[in-house]
Amino acid sequence: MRTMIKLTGHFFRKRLLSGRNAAFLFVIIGVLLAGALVQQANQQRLSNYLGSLDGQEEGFVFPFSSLHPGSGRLNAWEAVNGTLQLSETMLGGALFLLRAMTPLLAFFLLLAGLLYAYDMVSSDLETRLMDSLLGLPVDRRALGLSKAFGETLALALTLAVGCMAALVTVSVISGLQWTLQQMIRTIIFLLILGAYCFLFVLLGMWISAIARSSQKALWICSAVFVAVFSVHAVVENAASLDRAHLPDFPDLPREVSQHFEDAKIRGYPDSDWLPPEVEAYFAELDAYSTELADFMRSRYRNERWWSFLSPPGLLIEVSGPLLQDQYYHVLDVFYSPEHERRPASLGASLRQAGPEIVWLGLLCLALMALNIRTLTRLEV
Amino acid sequence: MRGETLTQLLREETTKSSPRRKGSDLKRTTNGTDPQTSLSEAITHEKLEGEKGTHRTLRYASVCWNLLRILGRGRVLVLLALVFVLLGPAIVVVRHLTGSITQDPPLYLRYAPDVTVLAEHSQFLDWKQFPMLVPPEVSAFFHVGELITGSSLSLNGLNEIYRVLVALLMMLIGANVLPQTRELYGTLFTLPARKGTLFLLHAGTLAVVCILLFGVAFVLNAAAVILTKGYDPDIFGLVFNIHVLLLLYGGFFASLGLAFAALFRRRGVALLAGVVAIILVISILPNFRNAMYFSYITEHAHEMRLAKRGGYLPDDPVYRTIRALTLTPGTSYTRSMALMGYDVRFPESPFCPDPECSPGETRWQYLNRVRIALVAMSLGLMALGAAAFSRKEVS
Repeated sequence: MRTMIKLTGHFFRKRLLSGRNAAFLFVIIGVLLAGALVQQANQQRLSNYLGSLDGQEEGFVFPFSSLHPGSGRLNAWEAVNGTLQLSETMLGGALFLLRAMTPLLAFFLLLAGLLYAYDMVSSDLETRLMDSLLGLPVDRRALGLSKAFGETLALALTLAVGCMAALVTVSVISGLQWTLQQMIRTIIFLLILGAYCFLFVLLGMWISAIARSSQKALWICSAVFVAVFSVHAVVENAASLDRAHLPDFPDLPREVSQHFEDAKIRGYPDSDWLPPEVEAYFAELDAYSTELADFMRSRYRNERWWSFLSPPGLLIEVSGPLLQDQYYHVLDVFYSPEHERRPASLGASLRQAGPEIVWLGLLCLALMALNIRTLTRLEV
Repeated sequence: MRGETLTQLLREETTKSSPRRKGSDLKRTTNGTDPQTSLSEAITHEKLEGEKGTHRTLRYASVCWNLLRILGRGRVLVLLALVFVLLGPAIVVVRHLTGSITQDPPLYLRYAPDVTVLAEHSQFLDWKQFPMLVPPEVSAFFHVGELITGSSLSLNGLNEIYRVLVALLMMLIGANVLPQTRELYGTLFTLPARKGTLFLLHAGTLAVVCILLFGVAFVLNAAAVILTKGYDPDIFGLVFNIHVLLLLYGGFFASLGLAFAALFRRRGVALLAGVVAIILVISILPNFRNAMYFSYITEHAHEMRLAKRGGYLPDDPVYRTIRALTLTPGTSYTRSMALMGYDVRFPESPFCPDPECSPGETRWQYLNRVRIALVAMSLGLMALGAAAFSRKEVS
């Protein structure tokens, strides 16, 4: 055990102080800082605009948005983003910044993990270091585990430092306030990001071990990246293959339109004094909204399993409920009457993302087992 | 890659094509030395025999042909290229099958309708009159909801998919054209041609590969659009322009790969540097540019409004920097695609709606500026690569 800890420490230090690690830290801070700054600037601009509107004391969420027919997941994702972004009071705080960056991080960490690990084993084989390592009086499984743990711990530390540095910098620059719940959610999500990156480090390491040549491993890793990217693109598009029809939006009658035009000139009436045709139109809208919400719920339930086919989809799906503190369930974003609204709960968000988190963990375990098996049978 | 490299293939090709260089004859020519190192001497011998012009042309054509063969034999590259050219038609067909783009986007209502809010924005209740989405013929190419690039990634439009895929694929191809080892460089440099000429041959071959690849992509995408939606000259022209932009955008990253392959000794280092450069170009720079832009327009809202009405554009270093950053490949690609989509939606107003465009500048003038910038940056990278290549010494 002591030998294993020593070996882990050795691999950890070696990787932490490598030039590649420094480059990774630089890139992760750059990507996150740049993305978070632009989102923050954009959100600030929208907040200022919404705050400048007359007659809106608390700011409001725009009650409309375009929909992507057939895609419940995409609609829920964008509707929550819209709610957080189009608010005067800067809803979501740092959660929104991280949320806006998640689709980019899903691919960046995939590539970074593979490139980080593509020569973990093959370079040792090429430089004959593996001969010496395997000559040590240490069990091969312990050696493999130490290598995997040491190198990925260095990566996890770099990733955590990079993410936190970027988020803290943005918070300091913009004066963003974090609530305790937002901070807990952020930390949990960073852990999940670490697990996601770990998955691809393990994959890169396994490719490195079976390819036995760094050049070959690099090509295979590039192909894996493009394959995952393409699969995700196809899955995202194929999710709408079910041609279920969206409910038709009720047309705006001329008299209702005329009523609104008059109201703009004479001032808005109290809702108790609405003309019957406007009342009837609002009832129609209400029915339409309920129908649409039911439609989205059923689509979401079916579509969420598509994300199991694509690791980036998995991460985005996990971030959906976790990186928001407004809704008990993300689907509440679609027409949730006041009496049905429940306060956002961390437990509910974790339960909602539970299947995806478990699947991510299982994938990591499977790849870990595959790595140990490959490393113990490695021929030098 | 199976390990076939330029010089090995050159040797094979030369041995096959010239009876004089086969077997024992070749050994005799090189006076008992290793036949694999005798290529340059054999070529020099040919040169001395006369027929200079014809042989030089054939030789260069042979180099180009062998380079194409190297690319052709790289199984991973072929696989990636296949993914690239087939993904477009696949998305076009999926979009056609789903019929998922409607002309009249519906709306969702989050809360029970609030009369004040709805009345304030009642025009949105009658949204159908606005053609907010691109026509279904080219809807697969445009994800028009998001004009901000770099900060998010949606893979629902081919424009976003190609933004990442083309950059990576072309960088990989560019980095794979030059030889990778000192030995191969040694053999290459024994050819009776200047280093500049040799680099030019590699760069030319790369250009041919790019044109072929994007030509095939264009043909397949256009065929998919025509088969699913029918022929329309305007749409056909738009698909062509999209692929011209893709070619120039891809050419930039291919040049980047080529330049890095010339700058760095090891291909792994060149590829890693290329990936970092891609992240910088398609994500970090556009984001920084957007952050600068948003904070600038917040502070200078009045000047920007004046500029939009055809007045003057602010002339200070910050604004000049923002405009320069707009022409970097990551931003200019997304802007150009968005403007092409905008052109389809609003053909009656040809002017560029972006306040960063010059006053009165049309969308196509902006697009031409982007094209010229992309070509200039690619040539700059090629020059960098040529300088690094000409300094390469083989001990």
